[in-house]
Amino acid sequence: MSTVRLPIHLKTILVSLGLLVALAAAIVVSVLIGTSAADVRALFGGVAGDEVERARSILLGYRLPRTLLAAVAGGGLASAGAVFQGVLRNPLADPYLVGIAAGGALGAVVAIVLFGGHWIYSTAIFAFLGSLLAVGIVYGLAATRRGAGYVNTVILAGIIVGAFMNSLMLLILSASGSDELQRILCWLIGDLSLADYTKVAAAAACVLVGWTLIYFNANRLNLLIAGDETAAVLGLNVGRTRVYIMATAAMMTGVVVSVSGTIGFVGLVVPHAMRLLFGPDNRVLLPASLLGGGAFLAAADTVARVAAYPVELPVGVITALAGAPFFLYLLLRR
Amino acid sequence: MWYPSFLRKKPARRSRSISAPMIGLTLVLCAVGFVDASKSICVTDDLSRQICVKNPVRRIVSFAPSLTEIVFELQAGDLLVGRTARCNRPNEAANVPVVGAYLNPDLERVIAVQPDLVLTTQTGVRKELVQRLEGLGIPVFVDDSGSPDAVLSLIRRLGVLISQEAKASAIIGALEERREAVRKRISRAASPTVLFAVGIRPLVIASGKSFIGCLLREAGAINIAEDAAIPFPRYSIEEVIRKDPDTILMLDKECPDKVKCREEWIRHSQLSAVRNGRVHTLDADLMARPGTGIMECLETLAAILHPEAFQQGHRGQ
Repeated sequence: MSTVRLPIHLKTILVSLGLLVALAAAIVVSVLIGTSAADVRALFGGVAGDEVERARSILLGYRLPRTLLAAVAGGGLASAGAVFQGVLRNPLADPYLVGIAAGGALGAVVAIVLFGGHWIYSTAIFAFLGSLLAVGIVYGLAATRRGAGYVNTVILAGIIVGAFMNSLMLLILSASGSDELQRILCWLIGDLSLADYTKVAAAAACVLVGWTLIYFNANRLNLLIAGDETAAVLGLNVGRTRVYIMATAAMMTGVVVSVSGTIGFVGLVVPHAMRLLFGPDNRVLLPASLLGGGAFLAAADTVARVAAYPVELPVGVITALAGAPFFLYLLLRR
Repeated sequence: MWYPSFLRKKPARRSRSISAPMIGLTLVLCAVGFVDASKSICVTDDLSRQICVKNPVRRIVSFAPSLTEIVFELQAGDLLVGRTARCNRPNEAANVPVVGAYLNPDLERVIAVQPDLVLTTQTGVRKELVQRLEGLGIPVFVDDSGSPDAVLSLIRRLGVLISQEAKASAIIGALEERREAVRKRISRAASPTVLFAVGIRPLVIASGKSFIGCLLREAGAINIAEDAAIPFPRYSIEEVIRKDPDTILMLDKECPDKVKCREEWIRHSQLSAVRNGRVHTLDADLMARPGTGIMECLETLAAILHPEAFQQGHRGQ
């Protein structure tokens, strides 16, 4: 046992360090891109003046929180994706599978149509409540099936609850004739331009706590992937572990969705890419997904921000455009 | 904005043969036709299509608030037999039956009121609906006004269509007068730089290509997003900080009241417009409607952008 554990710990540390460097690089590049060398020198040189003050406020007040939020959201989504793919043993699973995206979108649309501009945080709070509602219904439905049918029930219930909430959302949209269509569309594609330090802190705290709780169960997650019977034979309480891990991942996703909208593709592709690169062991996969997802979304949001500057592109489009070919390459390389 | 270009494709072929003087000539001929009390009146709509209606028009359906307003201004409100739920001005519009939501009129209800003319803005309906209505022999006048001049031309053509040319001329004359008055007042004023936010979460702004952008130019302002490629781009807040506009304008639909609207900008205290209290809220219904309210828009904008010129003028009078 000890001969196996040492290498995996070493591998975890090496992979984590490598990806931490990648994440740091993505954040630094993202923050500095579009800033001249003179600006940076002035910033660190402590030179005063209107121009410097402006550059500092852009960098620290707008760009840094946005990049950090992208990193947190990417890390949260990718780790949740790794969990769902593992627990449900389905390669197509992503964090939105259990109806979170549809529930969050429904909550956000209800908030935007009902409250409009009256209450700034209504969108985030309602989106989170919507995700919780969707996940609650899906798990409630699946709870009746404790045995072999559980996984399929979760997937089907997730799809059906998602479809139902999507239609509710479209119903509200078409009936309200809302002129907030652009705002809603931005939310549905995913948007990080409204980041502030409050959001970053809240999301980072939730993602880190959730991720840590899951990481402590990485070995149990490995057992689950081996199959229900094997896991049960080896002494795992399959039902309880599964619900515990999935609920944690769902909460994490709900928090991310509430601050950034439903950014697609990160939760699906990053865990797969990490699995292809570093193997399926969750003790490596979970930190790799957290850091890799963060680096990927930070980089994607940088592209969204600067590609058509000063016009902003939707970040969800960039994640899909960049992620799909990279994923295909990884698949073909094997 | 994929939809407008689609709609344009077909008529564009026909339009190649119609030059500007020809359109003018057509208008004159139409007017003559009316005098002769002939059976139909034709005008050219903004897709360069010939729209012909039976004279006189008796039943009109409007798919846009701006067009509903113009019809009422032309004192032809009693001809309206259908409007969208969004058409709320003037108050008498409430008596006109609703034929669907704005952007999503209900075809059945439109057909049921048997219109002999349908008015719509280009962005107001899907092109399929226009085709269906025309397939049923109902003429559809499509408006795509992007500037004050275009609105004046629109009023003139609608006046011809519903046989209210004299009224149309009077309205246009009055509007031109107000425009000229604004021009005179701001002629010597300095041009402030301005940001016009049509949405703040996320930040969406009016560029030089939008109707609002056109009004800003006319009101003597320099739009910091004059050159953006599309009318209403999502815009980088960093660029706003960098350009630091003198004045920030936003639509009141974004927040419940003026105080709350200003609070939205407090966190951007780096902006001189925020520090100097030059964040202003505008009536979204008024600004979003390229109709008879355009000069009111222009006057409002000019007064906000050049407070000195307007205060002095006021004292002088």
